[in-house]
Amino acid sequence: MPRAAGRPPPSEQGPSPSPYTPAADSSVAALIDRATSTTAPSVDPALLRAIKSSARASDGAVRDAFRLLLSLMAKPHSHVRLLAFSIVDELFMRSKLFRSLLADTLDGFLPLAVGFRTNEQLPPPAASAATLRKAAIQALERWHHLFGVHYRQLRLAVEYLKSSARIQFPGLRAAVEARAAREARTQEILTAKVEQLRSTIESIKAEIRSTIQEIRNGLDIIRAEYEKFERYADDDDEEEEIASMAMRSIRTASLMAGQWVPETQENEAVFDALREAYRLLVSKHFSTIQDWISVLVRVNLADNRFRDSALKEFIDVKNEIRAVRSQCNELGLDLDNVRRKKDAQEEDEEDWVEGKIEVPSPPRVVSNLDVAGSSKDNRKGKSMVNSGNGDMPNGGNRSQEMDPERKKLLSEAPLVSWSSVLDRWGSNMDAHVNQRGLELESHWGRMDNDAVIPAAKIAELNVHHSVYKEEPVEILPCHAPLKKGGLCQRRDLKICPFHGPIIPRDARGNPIGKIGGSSDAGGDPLEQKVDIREAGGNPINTNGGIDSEYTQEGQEPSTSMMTSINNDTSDIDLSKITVDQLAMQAIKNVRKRDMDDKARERAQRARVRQHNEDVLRQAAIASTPHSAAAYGQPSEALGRRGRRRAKTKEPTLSSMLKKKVTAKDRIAGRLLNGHARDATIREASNTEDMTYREAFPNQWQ
Amino acid sequence: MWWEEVRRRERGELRARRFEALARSRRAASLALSNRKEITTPHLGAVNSLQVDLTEGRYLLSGASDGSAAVFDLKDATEYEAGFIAKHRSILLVDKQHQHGHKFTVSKAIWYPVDTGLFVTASFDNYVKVWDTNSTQMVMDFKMPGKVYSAAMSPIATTHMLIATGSADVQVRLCDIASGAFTHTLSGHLDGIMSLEWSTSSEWILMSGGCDGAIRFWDIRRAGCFLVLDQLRSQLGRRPPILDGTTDNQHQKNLGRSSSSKSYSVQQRTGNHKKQSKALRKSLTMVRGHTQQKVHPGMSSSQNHKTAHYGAVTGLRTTTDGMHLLSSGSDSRLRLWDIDSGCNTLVNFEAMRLQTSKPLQLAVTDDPSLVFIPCMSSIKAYNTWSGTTFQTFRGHYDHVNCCYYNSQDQELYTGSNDRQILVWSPSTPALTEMEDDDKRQEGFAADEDNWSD
Repeated sequence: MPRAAGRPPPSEQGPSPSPYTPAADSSVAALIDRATSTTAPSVDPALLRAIKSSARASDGAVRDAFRLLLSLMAKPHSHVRLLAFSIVDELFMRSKLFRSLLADTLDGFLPLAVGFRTNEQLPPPAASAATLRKAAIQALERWHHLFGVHYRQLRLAVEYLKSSARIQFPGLRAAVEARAAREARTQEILTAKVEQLRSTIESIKAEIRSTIQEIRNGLDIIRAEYEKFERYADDDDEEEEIASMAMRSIRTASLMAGQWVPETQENEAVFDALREAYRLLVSKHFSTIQDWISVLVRVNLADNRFRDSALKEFIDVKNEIRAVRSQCNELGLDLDNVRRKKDAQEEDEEDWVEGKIEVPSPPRVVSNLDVAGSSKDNRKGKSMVNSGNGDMPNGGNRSQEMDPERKKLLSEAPLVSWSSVLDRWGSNMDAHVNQRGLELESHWGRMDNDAVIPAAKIAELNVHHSVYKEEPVEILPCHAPLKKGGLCQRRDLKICPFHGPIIPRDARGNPIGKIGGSSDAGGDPLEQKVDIREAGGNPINTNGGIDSEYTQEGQEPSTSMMTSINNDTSDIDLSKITVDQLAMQAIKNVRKRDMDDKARERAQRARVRQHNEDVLRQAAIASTPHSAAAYGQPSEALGRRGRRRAKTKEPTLSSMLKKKVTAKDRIAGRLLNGHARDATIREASNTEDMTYREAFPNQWQ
Repeated sequence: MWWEEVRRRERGELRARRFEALARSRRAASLALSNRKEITTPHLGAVNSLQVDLTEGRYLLSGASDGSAAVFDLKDATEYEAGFIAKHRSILLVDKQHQHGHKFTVSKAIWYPVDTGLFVTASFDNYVKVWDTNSTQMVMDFKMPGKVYSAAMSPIATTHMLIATGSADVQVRLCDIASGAFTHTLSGHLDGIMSLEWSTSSEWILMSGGCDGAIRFWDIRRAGCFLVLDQLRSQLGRRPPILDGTTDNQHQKNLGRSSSSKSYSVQQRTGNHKKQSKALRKSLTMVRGHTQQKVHPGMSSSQNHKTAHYGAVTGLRTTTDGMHLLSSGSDSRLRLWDIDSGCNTLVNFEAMRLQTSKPLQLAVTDDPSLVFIPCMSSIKAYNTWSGTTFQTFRGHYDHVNCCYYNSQDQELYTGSNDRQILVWSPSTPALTEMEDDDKRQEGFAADEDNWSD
């Protein structure tokens, strides 16, 4: 792309979509005009900076800006005022000239920003007006705090708003004072602590020193042992005389690299003591020292001598502790990492003590793929679970190195819905009763390693389960002919309360398969078969054409009715079928075709209706742009609509003034409509009842 | 520049009087909201009336809608905020809690012109009360037939101590502090009286502006009013054209007299008042011409229905030299009258919008070059002779009711419905900043540019 090469890449580092370029018109007026003619909630910082720098240039610029801002503040649009006010605030804090100019017209300016006069309320939109008012009051308080001494007008304004207009100030200044009071209180506490430290510092130091000494002693013992061991190892080599130079170097290298003193039965006690002391040192003493250092750093004392000396001592002690710790680490005493021998509880503590936040390894995706991968190692033939998401980070690169066999297996593996069974897929280990030692809510606890559930029991408990999902069944209408004409539209599962069991009927409501009512249902194997097939939920034949159905079933294009029947009833004794039955079946099939036509028509109508509704809904959503996200719009449709909107128009300042139909309005309207509708329905049903009663006096129940 | 004048004065090119006048007018022209002097009002309602005492020019008296009146010391601040903001709290307060306090709005509060031992309050509860400043007790009260809108005492009176009161009733009543009774009842207005003003050149002459739009001149030694100002009778310029004939010399003489009374002030209340006022009367009657001289104006019905404003006359103010009268009306006009001729001078004061339902208190500078008038929530300063807007003072958050110009300190005080009394003082930014630097305390952000980026 030769064109893109010449241009710098689109800015990715900053969220500054500002259209401002320094090369553009940089007069204050133009900048302010641009800054205040957007619908953005605040002034673009880059633009604001530009305004500041151009206003800084000269007094004339400040005056220009002031004049323009004042006229903008008088605009009957709260959002413009809000943006203008934020610029005013910015300039007021910076320019003395601007301050004096604004102070002289503050009595005219404030009603425009705060709207405290009943005849000069803030203009719409209401949201911006509320923001403006809040911002103005806050700014005024800040101004008053900073510059009130120099400007009588500011003092007057605040006094008037407080006492006459009864406007509540947020009291930021009070907050500052409260903070100062809090500070003083902390100082008091700190001072008390330091006083306390005066008496206890010696004991603290002594304690720490003793711990350090303990550790050093332990280290000495271990070192001595280590040297002994090393000598012993050398002896070994000499004795055996098999020391190939390579073997020996490898061994010493491994020993030296870790400087690892093997922990054995003999020196376990020493190690335990060492570990104990180390933990005490690191977890308790180190943090104590750090606390005291922070206290000493923060405290403000009249006499700083004690503080300084104590601070120095503590820092010394801290360095000593550090030295001991690094010594331990150098020796390769794996005191931090004792999980090999000790239980998980200690592990936790050690981790925490070290104060080293382990970089969490990328969370293992507990997905089906992992399970599958692990199971692959031991059981190749086992049916695997297809994860279905091969594009996961670790799944992706794994799939590259997958052997073709595995790929094949994955492709044909069945899809299993997720359940907790998959957690333990393929594992035959015992499970802990309490995996994390959680006994209290949100507290880590000790984990009991002995309390386990045997694998057999787990296998027994692990039963794959899935939630039953009902498949939608179309309930057919009764379609029995009514006396007043038309067909019964009741939809019951099996029996219509008025017309008995629901049976297939033709377009006029006559039951199919009961000509003259001579032959009864139930005894007819053919009809049974058909009924079964229909009830079996083969809805294709209601939607799809009859021909296709038959081609599917019959497997041959030149299917006659006979063959189809034969196919269907292959397991029924053919000898039972008489010519009459065949004829009846033929009639039935013809009628069924009629029915199918009707059903298709209905489906078509339903589709049209559905389409219409969709279109209407889209139109409704498009008219309220902000609600688009609230509705579950398909993203594709949204995108298309967004493009179209972007092309036609985007929100402007004037559009902000237009009254939006809020949820409240809609509900109110609907309630009104609802009332009206209810009334009409009641009336209509009343009259209907009356006519019905008159028409069918004996049928009224 | 300012320094230029000092140098000229040093060289003797500028005489002391002229130098002083220049300094005063310069200061008056640079009025701005004072950051270093503020008055903390105890009032819980609109401030309706403000006056600084005439003897010391130090104590500010205010009357407010919550029925209270308060006195502030303008020289000594009660406390200082941040080291340089002087806060003046009231040193005296008479409110509803007081045994004899007013029940309703105090519409006017005025000092006794001779000393600060007494002050007078007029209220909508139909009472005019006289208070002893030192004991904060009521000395006497006068029951009026209606809401009292206005009260005035002559600043130059030596022979009487009368309080002129205007109320919702059509009559102006004069209350005598000496006897505690009404001495006069001046009838003539057809509606309530919103504003009253004593002449600053004659202690006998009282001017009243009513809701009927008329401004009437009364000589309290005679029955009836002797002049009703007519807005349609006008002259161009500050003085009427000189008439020919025998009155010429006389007129010239009078003019000379009255212009010499320019220097009249409260402190210099000695002198030949009687003669002065007689001369004034004479000149007034003469200018109107020979035909009307015989008719008593109060009796003539054709004269009686002249109006100075369309609508009510809400404020009256004479200039310190007593030659001109300023009146404001509910027709949102400010008019400048030549008292001598009784003519509208046709000065077109630029567009303004005035409160219509309340008495307004106007103010003028000593050399009547500037007139201050409350225009809704701002105060406007107009050039008296040209009528052009000189300055607009913005700072109040509600309608302004009154303003008072303290000529001694060249300060303007304004009272408003937002319960504030604001001080507008001459501002010389360089000087104040220097002083601020001296007095600045730690803990406040400096008022400087702060362009961090």
